[in-house]
Amino acid sequence: MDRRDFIKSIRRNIKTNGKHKSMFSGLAPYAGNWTANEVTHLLKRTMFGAKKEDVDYFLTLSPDAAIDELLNSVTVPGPPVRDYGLIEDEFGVMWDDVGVPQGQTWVNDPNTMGNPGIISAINNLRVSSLRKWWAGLIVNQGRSIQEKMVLFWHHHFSVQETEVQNAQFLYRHHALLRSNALGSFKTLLKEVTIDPAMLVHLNGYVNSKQAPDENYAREMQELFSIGRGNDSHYTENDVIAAARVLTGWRVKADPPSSYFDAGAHDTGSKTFSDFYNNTTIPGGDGEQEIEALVNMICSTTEAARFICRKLYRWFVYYQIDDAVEAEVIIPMATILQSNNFEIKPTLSVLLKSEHFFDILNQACYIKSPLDFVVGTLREFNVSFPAYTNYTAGYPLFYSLYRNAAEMQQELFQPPDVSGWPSYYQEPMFYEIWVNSNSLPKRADYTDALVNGSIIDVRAFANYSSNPADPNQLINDITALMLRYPLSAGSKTYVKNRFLLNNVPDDTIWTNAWNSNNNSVINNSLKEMFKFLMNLPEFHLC
Amino acid sequence: MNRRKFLKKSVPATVAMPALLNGFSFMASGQENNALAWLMGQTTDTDHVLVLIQLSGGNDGLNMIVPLDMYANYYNARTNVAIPQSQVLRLNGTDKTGFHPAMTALQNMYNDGKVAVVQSVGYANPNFSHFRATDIWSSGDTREDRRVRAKTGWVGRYLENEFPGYPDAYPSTNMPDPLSIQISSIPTLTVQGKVYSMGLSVTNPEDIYKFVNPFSDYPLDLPPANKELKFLRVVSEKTKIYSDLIRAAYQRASTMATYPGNNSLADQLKIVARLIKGGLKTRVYTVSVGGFDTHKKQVNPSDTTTGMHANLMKNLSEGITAFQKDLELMGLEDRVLGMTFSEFGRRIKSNASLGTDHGAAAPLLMFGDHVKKGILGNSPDIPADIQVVNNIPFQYDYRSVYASVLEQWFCVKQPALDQILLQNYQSLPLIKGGPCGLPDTPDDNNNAADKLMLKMWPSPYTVSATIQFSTNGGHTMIQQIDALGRVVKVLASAEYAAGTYNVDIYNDGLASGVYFLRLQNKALQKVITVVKMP
Repeated sequence: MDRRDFIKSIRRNIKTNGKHKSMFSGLAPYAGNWTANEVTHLLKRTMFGAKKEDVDYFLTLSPDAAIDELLNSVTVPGPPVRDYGLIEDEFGVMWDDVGVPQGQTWVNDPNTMGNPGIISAINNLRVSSLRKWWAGLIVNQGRSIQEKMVLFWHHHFSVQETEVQNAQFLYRHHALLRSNALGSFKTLLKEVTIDPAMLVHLNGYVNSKQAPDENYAREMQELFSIGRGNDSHYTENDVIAAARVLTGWRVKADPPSSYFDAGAHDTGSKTFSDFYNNTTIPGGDGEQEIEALVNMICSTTEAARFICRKLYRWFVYYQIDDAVEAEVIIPMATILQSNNFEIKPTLSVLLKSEHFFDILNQACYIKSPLDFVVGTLREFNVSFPAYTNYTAGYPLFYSLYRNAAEMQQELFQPPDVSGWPSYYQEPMFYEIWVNSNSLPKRADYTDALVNGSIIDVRAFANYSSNPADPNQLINDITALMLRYPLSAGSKTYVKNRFLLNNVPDDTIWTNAWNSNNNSVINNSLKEMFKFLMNLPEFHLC
Repeated sequence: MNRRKFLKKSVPATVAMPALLNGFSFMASGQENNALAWLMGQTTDTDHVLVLIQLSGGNDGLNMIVPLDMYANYYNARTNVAIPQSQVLRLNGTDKTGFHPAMTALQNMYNDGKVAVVQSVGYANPNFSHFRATDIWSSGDTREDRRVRAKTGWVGRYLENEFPGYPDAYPSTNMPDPLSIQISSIPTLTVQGKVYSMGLSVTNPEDIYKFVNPFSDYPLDLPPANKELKFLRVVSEKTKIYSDLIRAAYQRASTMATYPGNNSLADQLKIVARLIKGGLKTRVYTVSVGGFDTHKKQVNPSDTTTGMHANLMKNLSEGITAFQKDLELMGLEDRVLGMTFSEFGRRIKSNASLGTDHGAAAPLLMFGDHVKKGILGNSPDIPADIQVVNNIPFQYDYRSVYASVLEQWFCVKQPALDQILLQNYQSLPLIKGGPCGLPDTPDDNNNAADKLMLKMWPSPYTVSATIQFSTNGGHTMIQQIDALGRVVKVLASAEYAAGTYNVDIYNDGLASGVYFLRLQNKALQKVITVVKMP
């Protein structure tokens, strides 16, 4: 029997026994235990990895205060900077990215100097610096939900570098997601609609009254706001009408921006279906029309529910059955609507709910590549240079970006316009992350962290209350590393194999530890940690 | 080759078949028990292997297979990169086409009857983006709408059809090895199935990750074990099993031929040969080489037979021939078929940077003991008045090549063939010796298209014209294709009795310019250039 079914059946029995325990937890505030287990759950879902010192810190706060701090600790980072030197063309001539000295930001420089080959080479270098910068922000994250929310919106709007091919546009797009990450979804949707990167990505920049291009108008509804749920009933005519509203927006390189070309705009009035209450948007100012369009979309209940389902799959679990829909999604969508589509108050209710901390929703999330790559480093307390450090920091951040990309999560390059399939593709969802291609890559990665002494296994062992006792050591470190308890049999196996050299005598380890026998201790710990990080349990959070 | 012969020729496996995981079967997607399907005999008993060689970036087909019968127009279109006529490598049995001068090794293999060329392979409305065009070749689906187009690969669909229930019910006695192996670290869409990839990626089999026994004994049949933990445990087990199988097969065999150095294709094919010799029953291997996006400096200005593309052609030619030699020394040559493909060819007209830009249809190579040697199809019709926009229209749909390989090499039958390729495609005579018990059509690849007649008068035309064509009977189609490769009209598409027919056109509404007429009658095609005047 599956764990969910099992626990649900227990609850059903409790209910039939006359006790008024809800069969299924809902959005009521969580009032249960507040131990390392709950804090770790909260941090693993809202940040990248749960560091021991962060867990200890949040244990000193109440659950409400902890979640408020995660939601309110938002910083505004400085932009990415040039970390590259001169560029050699095919004739061996060296070119400079003129106007952007090393260490200075390129985000406002249009990159229009130089021949086309050089422009494209400079653009690639800028995109690379943008990726390093973001990876640097993620690994250096504070006690905040911010980076996970920015990544959520990147998944949601899913702009791809290979389509946009303009680093300045990509940065602008990213900054937009960042500044609205916990704000109004309405504002975000409206801004993204006329954002240069999105205009290029989904052909909005060629949408004109003579030849309407429906690409963005369709995805705006299908992927970004209404979705394809059972209660989504927008029509093909709604796509066409929305495309007409969106005509006339153009992009320019210098300064990197978009603008409205009234001559290309369809000034007729646009009428929508009864799904949208037969709304008519009169022809007029381009920006006002978009605002009316966004308001019309967000006046539907389905838009609020769609966003809530996406947030749910990102933070809680992928399976949305009738009980989750009724007791979590629908009330959460009501909160989103009554807060005028502000994300923060809505997310606050979800994260503070008994449903979020329900045992059913713990340890059932498969780590994304970034959870795996960055979370492991953070949990092992590896320190990194500041995100601004382009000489010592950027090369390291590049390796984080690259490792996650190898495991199929590439920043600025989601696989297509609908984001990462792990958060929408039935029936596998999160399971898509793990397969015979990606698993050896994950194993190679954790091996390399141990073999290269990038993570300090000795320091981690010292988190144990008594590392000289092999039983205590294994109990403590597996509790920190794994969201699933290992059985007593497994623990004995690990102890005998890695700490006792297959001789069942605990004093072998105790003596080695107490005599500070470095080579024995370090080698044993390294092999043990590599093994533990290969366990199926290690991929869960 | 039957199973007995297979077992005789490959090195016996010293590692016993790993037992299934405690009889534990895992159904991630709630699909029905597809394992039943193969028990009922759906899986074909074949020991055939297909090796796909991807030439990434868009290979310049016109300089690989030089159209000697169109040489003047060819030279005129790309004077700065053209291969001098005298240096084109001649092929036995044809004076219409020849190989790039760097391909001497493959020229010999061709003359030995182990290479075939399929001319102008492509599709209607070609896409010029590397990413999209690669997806089109990998998925076997040209539809643009991402809602309807296939998210699976053509090989993935084939393997899924052959081995239903993968990976849950595998490895099995029926298929004890990986279904397909990519010598690469990036999964390719080609082998993607509905849910799972049907392939394993390996860069170096000796180095393949050595998982220690995944030890995690939390009782799965008792709460609180959850669905995800079960899934992870199964994937860990399978990954370990397949990794160990690949490593063991690799170590059982050794390379027998001499491969060229500094040649990444040769390095990859060397691994493939060892894995086959090591006894894997894996059906499909994919390898890939990059560097074909030759926008500039494709040739050296002093000698167009040298330069970047010449090096690529040399590596391709020497890599394939060393692989073939290795297979022969291993006694595996009648089990393996190889095929190249690239996301597109390059533009007919060269650019000023000694390079060529993204184009459309291009020839592909097939090799092995079983290929029907020769050149299938005509040289592309190159207009004398070449324009930058002119592209080579397709003579053969790329899915006709896939369909023919599946039908004639892997013995896939209808209706599975149409299901795998999403619709029906013409069957081309690619494989000889009838391994699937199909009639062995006569070896008439060369000049076969000359047996059809297609003409139009007047040409150039303005308002009206008459097209005359012949057919050998059966389905016959005439498409009119514009300079960009888009099919703008279908002028005939019906069942015809053998004979000669006329089609009149009047006021066709097309803009003036160069067009191609493509006649297709079963395996035969013919393409001619026509011009519309204002």
